[in-house]
Amino acid sequence: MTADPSGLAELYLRHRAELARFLAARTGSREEAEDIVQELWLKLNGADSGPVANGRAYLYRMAQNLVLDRIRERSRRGARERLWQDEEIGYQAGEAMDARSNPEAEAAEREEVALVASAIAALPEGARRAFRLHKIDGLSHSEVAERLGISRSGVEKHIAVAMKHLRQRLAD
Amino acid sequence: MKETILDQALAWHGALAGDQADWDGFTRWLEADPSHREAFDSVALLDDLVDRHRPTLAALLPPDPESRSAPRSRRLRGFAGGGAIAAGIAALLVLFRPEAAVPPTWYATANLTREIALADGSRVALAASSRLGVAARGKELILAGTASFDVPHRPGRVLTVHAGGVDLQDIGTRFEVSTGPGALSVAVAEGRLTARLADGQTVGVVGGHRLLVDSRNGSAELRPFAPRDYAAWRSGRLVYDNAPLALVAADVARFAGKGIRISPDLSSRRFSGVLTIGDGSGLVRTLAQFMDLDVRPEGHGVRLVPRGAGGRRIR
Repeated sequence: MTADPSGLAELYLRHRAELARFLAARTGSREEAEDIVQELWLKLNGADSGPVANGRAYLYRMAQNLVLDRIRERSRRGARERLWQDEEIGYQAGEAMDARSNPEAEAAEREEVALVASAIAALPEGARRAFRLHKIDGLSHSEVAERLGISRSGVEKHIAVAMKHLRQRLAD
Repeated sequence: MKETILDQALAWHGALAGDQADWDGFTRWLEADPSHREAFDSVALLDDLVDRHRPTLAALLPPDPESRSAPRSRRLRGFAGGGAIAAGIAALLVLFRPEAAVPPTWYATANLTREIALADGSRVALAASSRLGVAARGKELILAGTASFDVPHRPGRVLTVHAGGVDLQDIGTRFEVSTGPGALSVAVAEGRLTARLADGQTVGVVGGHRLLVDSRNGSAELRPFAPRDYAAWRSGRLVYDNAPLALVAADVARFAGKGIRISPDLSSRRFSGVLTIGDGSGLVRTLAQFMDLDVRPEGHGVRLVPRGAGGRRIR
């Protein structure tokens, strides 16, 4: 890295330890946390970012997204988790963990999307309207609050209720 | 999964989307119980599913007077009428796109070395208990462990190896890398490379030289080595010249297949000598004898402590 206009590289170095701690808690694996901390560094080097308002939160969010990429891939592979027997220096039977697309996983996901659609349609009215405006139409919490004439915390509660219904529907 | 944990996970998921997200509090909540992570994962995956299929969902949902309908859902309404779910399922087949973002492909070894041929013609020998991540179509490699690299010279090649907080760039030809907690060794057999350290400093390493980085005290030193000692692990030996103990212990752990911790008062110790790998079972004992250390069982592995150090034996 030759320049650090956003100051993120410096922030990364300063917060590396706490990011690793967060990632270990978030993934349940210190090994995986280290991998993601490295990936984060790689992303920062590749990113052409302008000034960032809250750099620390930005780094956490990037880390959180990298975790999401992994759990998404993992759920696609049929939850074949990487298991590290030893938290310090782990090892496992060696196979390339390939992230190729998987027709079975795609078919399963199509079914899930259809299920989510019907579950949204069946939500209690307040939760359905708030969820739809925020998650599908992309309005912010404040915009949804204004549109529905309720408080922001009311919107958050509606959305939590909606997510809970949808999750239970998928878990059935 | 308990309802209360799911509720907490949902509350955190909502809170983290805001501007004032309490990441420390979230970390502590995750650390409090592994089931919190599982609950949060399930919420995050659902949220992700909705986000990635927003146009599809908009098309599938019955029209809602409050909703800014997407053009697609208007069209659907035209031919499918009110409850468009069933008709909309067909739209799924058209609208569905697999996620584009792909994380690195990881290769992991157990107790054997593995050869990996990369698409650009480079070859990597990945030692036991090591992991290599291949990202950005092979232009970015991430190493945790020990590996030797054979990168044929090609003008305009851009390859970076990220290992132990150090970036290796301007890579030409053959080199080996080994990582340990807070320590790194890079030995160049032929050609050269540039190491960019965590503090931004760059160090050029040319053939016949080994760079040892110890991030605990910020030291980085270059030492010449004999050609026969290059990637000696491939012929059953581990060869060290004033290497940080953290690095030696990490190598031994990999080839012995067991976790090794070193007590903090040993972190400044260095080791010079040759260890024979064999089947790996004698490595820890040999290292301990050479360095006058005691080996104590700890968890699934062992801890190295100064010989005769006071205090109780663990278990």
